[in-house]
Amino acid sequence: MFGKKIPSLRRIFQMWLLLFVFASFCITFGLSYLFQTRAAQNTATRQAALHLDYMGNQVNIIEDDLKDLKKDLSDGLIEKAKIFAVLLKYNPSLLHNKKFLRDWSEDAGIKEISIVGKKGVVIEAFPKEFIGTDFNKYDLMHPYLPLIDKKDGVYVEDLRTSYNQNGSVNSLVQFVGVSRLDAPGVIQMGYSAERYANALKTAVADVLADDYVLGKHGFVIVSKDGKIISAGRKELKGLTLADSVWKFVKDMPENTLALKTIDGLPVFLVTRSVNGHLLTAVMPKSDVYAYRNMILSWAALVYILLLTIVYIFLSALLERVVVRGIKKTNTTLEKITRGDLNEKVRVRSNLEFVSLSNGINAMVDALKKAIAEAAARLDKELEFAREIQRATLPNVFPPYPNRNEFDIFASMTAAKEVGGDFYDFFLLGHGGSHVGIVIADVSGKGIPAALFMMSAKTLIKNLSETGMPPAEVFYHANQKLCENNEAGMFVTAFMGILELKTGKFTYVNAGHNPPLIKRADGGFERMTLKPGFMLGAMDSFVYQQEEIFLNGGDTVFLYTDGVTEAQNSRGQLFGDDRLNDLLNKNTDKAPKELLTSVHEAVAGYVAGAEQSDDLTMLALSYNPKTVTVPAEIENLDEVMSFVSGMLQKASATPEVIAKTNIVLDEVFTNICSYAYAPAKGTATVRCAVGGTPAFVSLEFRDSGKPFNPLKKEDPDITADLEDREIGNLGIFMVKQIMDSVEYEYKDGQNVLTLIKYLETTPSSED
Amino acid sequence: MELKKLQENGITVLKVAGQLTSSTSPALEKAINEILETEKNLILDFAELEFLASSGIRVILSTQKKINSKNGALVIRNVKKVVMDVFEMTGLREFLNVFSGNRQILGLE
Repeated sequence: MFGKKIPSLRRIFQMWLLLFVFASFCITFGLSYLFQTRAAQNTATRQAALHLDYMGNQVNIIEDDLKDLKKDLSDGLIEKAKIFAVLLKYNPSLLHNKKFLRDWSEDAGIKEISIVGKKGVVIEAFPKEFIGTDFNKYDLMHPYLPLIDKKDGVYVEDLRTSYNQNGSVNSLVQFVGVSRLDAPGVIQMGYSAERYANALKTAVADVLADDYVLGKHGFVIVSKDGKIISAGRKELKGLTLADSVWKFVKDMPENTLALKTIDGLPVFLVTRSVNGHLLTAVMPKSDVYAYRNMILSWAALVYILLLTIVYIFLSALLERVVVRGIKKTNTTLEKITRGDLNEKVRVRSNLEFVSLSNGINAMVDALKKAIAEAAARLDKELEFAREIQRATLPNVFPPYPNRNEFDIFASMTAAKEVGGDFYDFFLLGHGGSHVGIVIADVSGKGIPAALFMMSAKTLIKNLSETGMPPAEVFYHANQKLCENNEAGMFVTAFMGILELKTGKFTYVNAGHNPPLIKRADGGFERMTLKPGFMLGAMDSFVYQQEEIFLNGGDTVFLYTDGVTEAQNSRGQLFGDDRLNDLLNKNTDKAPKELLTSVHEAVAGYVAGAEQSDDLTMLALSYNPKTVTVPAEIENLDEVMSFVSGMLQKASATPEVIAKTNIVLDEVFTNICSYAYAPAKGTATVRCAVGGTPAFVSLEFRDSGKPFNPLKKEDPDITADLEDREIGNLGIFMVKQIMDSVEYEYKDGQNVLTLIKYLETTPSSED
Repeated sequence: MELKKLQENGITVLKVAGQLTSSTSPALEKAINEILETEKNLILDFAELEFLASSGIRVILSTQKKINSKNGALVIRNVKKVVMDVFEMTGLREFLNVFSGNRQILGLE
């Protein structure tokens, strides 16, 4: 796509609206134009007609005047002619009285008299040159001939120019004829129609149109007999129509508006014939259209203004009714897209938007429902995985109720996402001589982590049960985990194996956070570990184990970083220091109570914020109270170190410890020698240190022959060396050293209970 | 238990360190018997002996008897309080040359 921008709704609408408005304008204006033009033309025609009417009237008036005048003139002449005819009738001698003729003519103002006989020939005339004129020879005179035989005939000639005998033109003359009364014949009289001619000269028609203005710049041309006699343009006056640019005028249909271009100027014309005159009204086009143009200009302005207002109004309307609604919908949709599925589209301005809003909201709801269902499904799967995970971790406490030389408690509280933390513990060795503890943190969350966790846990346990020491367990476990580890998962882990008889704790670390260890008389401290790579990351890694000796009362606390990295709502971490302090406030607590304290402290700290990682902890406390060994002399050391350990913890003096050891020697050796011989068996020594004042109590049990060592007689210690019985010295010493000695045979066991009070202050030297 | 043999002024000194128990006494007896094959005088230095039980006493008694029969002398020196208490308790203190300190033996041939 190169720059092809999709236009906005507003733009599209505006474009179309503009087009429409423009078309409207064109049509409206066009129609206006046509109408106005037609109207202008009609007006011009009417105007011209009015003017021509006026002109015509004037012409008529003038012509009528002239006709009247002519009639007057001719009537007067006829009268005179009739009078002459009467005179002749009663005085026929006057016929040839030339003087009479002359005088009469002068009196009557007549120019010519011609008396025509019965043959049609002038027999007498004034002036005399007309005598002998034969009327039969002239067409013009023919109409007189019928008058000869009448008595009352009259004939009026049209005005004409007279010409002499020789044919030259004279002036305007009027001739009439009357029948003679004295004899058949005609009396013809004529006179110079001077008045008429003068009247004609002063005919207003000549100036009729001269100063006449038609409209603003229009004018009238009056032409008669092919000659312009009057015109609004002075230069036209006198022109012969046929020679001028106006020659077409005579061929124009009358009373119709025509447009011609004269001398480059477009003009409208209307012509009319009135009374022998051709009247032509001439109106320049600009005049005719002046009004129209003004109207159209104003109309155009008004139209444009109106349409602009309509345009703006409709645009705004669209914006308000549609575009705004769409924008609001889009804004809400954006919020929804960004993840807030609870947003609702609320555009309710019109039906369509209500429908749209409802539709979108319904769709979002359906989506939410689908998502919730999918999440629920996933949650179920995770729950299932979590259950599996939970079930595989040993969760029965106390796990070994018949073993009280150590105490274990562990817990794993999973985060929402199934994580991969785990703990494990198991007895190892013949008769459960050792206990192994493991804690681990798998990278990642979810089902893959859970599966990896199960693999790791199983491997470590199985390998440990083969009797391998921790470093080897981790070496082989690592190898196996590195195999087929395409997902690249890894697990940090710590494991330790505690030899219960001796308290020897052998441990190895694979990148896990060091456990905390509390020595009997101290506080919790972090164990320093040799570094080791996490399991599953790099094959063929050789792990190094370490060993320490735990004494009675020591506690080892294993945990994963879910504890120290637990966050409160402000994102602050619980932290190593806080954990340390907490444990040190609870040093006297047994593992179960210790873990409960930690849980409570973390829960209190987190205070409702979401748990981000599994909380996994395991505490092992070593409280060897009894030691059970085969009744063989080689196990004497074990018994002695067991008891010594407890005494040391109780701050017993070395002297007390030594004396106790002597007692142990005596009793144990007895058991070894006599209890089972020749068979074999075990001896159990339970040691308890406590009380106020402090004492140590030793309880010896064996399941051998019933034998009360106290029954033996004390030896004679005063006897000299030679006589000395060595045999009973041991028991004697026991009786001397211990403050209390008791024996009973109960439930098939010899039970010897010895108590000695501890002197915590050193006694005086001898 | 550790044993260290040395000579002082021509007399064998056997230093016993550790504990004299039923399990360790036999070793002491064996060492003493070896010495007594050639010697009649013996000094047992118990400076580092933590304690001894009846088996240890037995060994000492038999040693004393053997030395008596040889007309030699047995001296047990640098005995700790515990050990001394044991000797007292068992009434053997009077019968043995037992010293808590490192006193020179006078008049020994």
